[in-house]
Amino acid sequence: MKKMIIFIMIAIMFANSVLAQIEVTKDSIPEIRLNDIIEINMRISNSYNTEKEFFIEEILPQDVQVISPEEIFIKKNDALEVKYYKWETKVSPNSIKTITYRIKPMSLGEYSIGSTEVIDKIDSSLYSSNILNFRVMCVPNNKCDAEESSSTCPEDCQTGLKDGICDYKADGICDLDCDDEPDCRKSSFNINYIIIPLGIIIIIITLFVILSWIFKKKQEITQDTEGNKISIQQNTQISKDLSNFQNQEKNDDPLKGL
Amino acid sequence: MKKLCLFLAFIILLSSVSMAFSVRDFLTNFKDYYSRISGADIAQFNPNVCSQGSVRCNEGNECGSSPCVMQCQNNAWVEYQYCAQSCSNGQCVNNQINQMQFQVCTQGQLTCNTCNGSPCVMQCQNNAWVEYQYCAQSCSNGQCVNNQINQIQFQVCTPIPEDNQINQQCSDQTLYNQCSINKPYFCSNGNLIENCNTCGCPTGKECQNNQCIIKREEPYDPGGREDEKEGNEKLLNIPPRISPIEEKTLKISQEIKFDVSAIDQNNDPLVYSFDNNERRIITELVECSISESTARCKGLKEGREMIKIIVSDKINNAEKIVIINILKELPLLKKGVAAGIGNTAPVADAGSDIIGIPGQKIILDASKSYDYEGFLSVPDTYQWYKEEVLLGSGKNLEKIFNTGSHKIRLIVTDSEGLTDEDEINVIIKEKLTCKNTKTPYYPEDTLCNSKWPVKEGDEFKINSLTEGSCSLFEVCSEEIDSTIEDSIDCCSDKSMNNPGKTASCNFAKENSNTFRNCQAIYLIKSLGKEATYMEGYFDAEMCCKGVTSLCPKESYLYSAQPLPEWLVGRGLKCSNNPENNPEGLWRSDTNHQLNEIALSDTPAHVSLSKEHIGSGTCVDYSVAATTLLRKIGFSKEDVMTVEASNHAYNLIRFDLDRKYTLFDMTGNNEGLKPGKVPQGYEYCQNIINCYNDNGKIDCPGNKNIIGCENVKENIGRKTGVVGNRIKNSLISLFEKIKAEVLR
Repeated sequence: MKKMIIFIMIAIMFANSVLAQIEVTKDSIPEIRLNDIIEINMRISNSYNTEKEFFIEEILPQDVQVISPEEIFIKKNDALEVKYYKWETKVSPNSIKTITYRIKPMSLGEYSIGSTEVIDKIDSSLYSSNILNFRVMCVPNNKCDAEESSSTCPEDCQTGLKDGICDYKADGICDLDCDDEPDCRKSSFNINYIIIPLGIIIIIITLFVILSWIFKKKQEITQDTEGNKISIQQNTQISKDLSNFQNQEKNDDPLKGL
Repeated sequence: MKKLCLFLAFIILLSSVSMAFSVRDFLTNFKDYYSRISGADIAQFNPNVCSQGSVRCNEGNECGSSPCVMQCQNNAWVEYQYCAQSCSNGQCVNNQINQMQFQVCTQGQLTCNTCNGSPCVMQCQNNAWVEYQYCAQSCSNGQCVNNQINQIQFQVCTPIPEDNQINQQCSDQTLYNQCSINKPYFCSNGNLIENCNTCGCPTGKECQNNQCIIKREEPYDPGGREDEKEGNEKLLNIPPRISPIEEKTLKISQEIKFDVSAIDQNNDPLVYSFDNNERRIITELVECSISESTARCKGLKEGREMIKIIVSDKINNAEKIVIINILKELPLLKKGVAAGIGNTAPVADAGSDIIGIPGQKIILDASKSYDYEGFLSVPDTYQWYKEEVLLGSGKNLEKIFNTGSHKIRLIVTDSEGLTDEDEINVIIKEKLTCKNTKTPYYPEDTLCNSKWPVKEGDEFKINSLTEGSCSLFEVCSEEIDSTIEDSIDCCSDKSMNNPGKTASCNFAKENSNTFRNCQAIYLIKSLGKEATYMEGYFDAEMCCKGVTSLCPKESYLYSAQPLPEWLVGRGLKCSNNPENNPEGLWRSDTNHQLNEIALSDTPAHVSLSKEHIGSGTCVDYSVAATTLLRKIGFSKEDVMTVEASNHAYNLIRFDLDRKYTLFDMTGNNEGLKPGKVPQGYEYCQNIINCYNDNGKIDCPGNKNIIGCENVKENIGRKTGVVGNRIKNSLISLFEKIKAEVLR
């Protein structure tokens, strides 16, 4: 019986230490407006009965301004510069430690902050938090500015704008970002479809007339040339005959040889 | 001669059809091309079109008929600014504000604002703020301020009279447009503003992005607050997450049903309700109820309603808004007439013919179908048939087909019963490419047939000209097919049990318009912060190669350190030293002793699996992304890895998009911003070469990359603009002729 009790006690103690754990979570509000500062709360829960010491590494998104704490680290991933916090902290037994930092997102759209890495200073165990997502929306000003789109600023921008995002919708707006869109397919009468083929037909007819004329002219020239050839031949014959006659006359000259 | 005439006439006749549709394009392109390559102002040839910088409101189809301001640039009218409401006299005008508030501003009053991302001065005209002047540097108190010029001017100009100086001072006695002794403050029209670019930072801080930051060398204690754990457990709770819900359209009295998909990272049971904390909500326009995760809504009155759905884990709530359009039902519903407008039949579009292999899941995608009245929310809107046999319903359908050719018919039916059909061929045949592997996910237009290693001694590096791209961009590898399967599950609305995958999937669904785009965005996002398939930046590659600037500690140089936890003790090797410092190579999946990690370009399957490396540097992230996107079928012209100055990233032309999107996921960077270029690097300027499994390919010109349009290209960059232009012109010509013939 004694053994049994000791065994149960050991089992409970063992189970206690197994159940004790470190949890890391991160939260913020899900949506802010541009130029707002967002507060990120990072929580480390220590269920152990002893104080724990941790190294924390938090990589920040690219286009944010660091508000507080101001002290950050910078490293390079190839040509990309990465800003990150690197902290060390102690968490009392059975406590939750909340560390808060504040950043200011510089552009619109969805932001994601990756897992926070928490490393136990003693045994190097690694704990990771959830990934935090939040969205930065525009400050509506009734004008669809260059950086805004229908998704980041629905108050100012209607869908179908030339904003680099193809909104494939049959909404009566032909979106110029799309290669193929229902509203752009709607066939409207285009005068070019008549003018251009008609122009080409006229060109063809003109060309044909010109070519025919050239052809005709050339034929005439050929005929003329042939006529000339005959007359030249005739002339040559006449001159030959004349020369023969002259030679004959010379030969018959009584004064020849004098 | 006659024959020549006939031949000429025939040629002209033949070309006339094509000319009819391309002359205008040709002339436009020519003008555009000429102005681009020569930088010449065409105005000198045609001086009367418009005067540089002048503005007017849009006409006809300009800006897709939306109100906008057009500006004259290089003697051509270009879209300059979109207006939220209307355009008048070349300015965006806000009617609503003007109508609601009698006097918004005083005529001629000036104020500062941001116009298209730049500081500008706005002027009050006709009781509305209109853009008046753009500022080169900053705007303060309704005036442009040029910090640098003013500094110089202050040195060379006559001193301002004393009484003026007293008036023109900031609170700390700093003169206007001068730096304060308290760095980084700058006196701008009476206000002290932080401007470290001009004024510098105090000792111990450095200026980055016009912000003074304290760069630390050692970790420090950030302080914080401690609470007893007991009773504060709710602080640790992670709220549930709801997947996006599509906009719904229904008629009065009609009921629709849809699922609300949610996940909780703490595995807490979830409770679904509306924002009145009830499971039933009745508004003026709609009546909705929710049971478990299934919602039903019935239209009551014509209009547009936004219903908020709440999912609670009993500690935290998550909410999602569903937009419901309720269209009017006529007392006597006539066929073809609804909501007071003439109802037109929907347009069915089943996409292009599909070629697959035996056993492959074929995805039938009806995303391109549409209805001008939006009547496509009823159950069984999309039905897929094979020879009169119903295969299934849904916008997307996954099926496996036998070898042979299958005619698949899509019938799209709107709420009024009007239908349209489209037919595609699904051809199942033996593989033409990737012949030596079993993968069902591969591109048809690849030159590859085998997975890594393609052949003994094959050494392909992203910036080398050697053959062997198939060993790096492993489009034939079956080892990474599970990743492709994940993307299919996400986009076909199967539940994703992993919170990271769910987040990527939600983003993909919210930002895509076709099944394949959804898959692509899911895969790209998964390489980002969610770190689903690749995690972190593989510093050890750089340390081993002795790259001091990219190695976190000097003591790690020329060693295989630091390693992520999953690679510790796995025998990764670094034999490099300052005297003998070659680039590494991945030689074996099983014996790491054969591999050298120094700046090695690893095959996609190695980068994508923690069994091997599961991490990488820029080239590895980019190669992995290109490989995955090619495997889901993006063509060789549409996806590529970009080699840039000291960096590598990607370009993709999403389905339906006119231009390429640039993204960079290096080290789980959040490098995909729809409609924009990501931040952190001069992406547009530095593109040098582009690659994929077909080796080195032509990069698109900046004009064809979203966000890079006005950026000058790198000298020596091969874009193939002329060749592609001719090719694209011919393709578009053929398409136009085909469309016109069909029309």
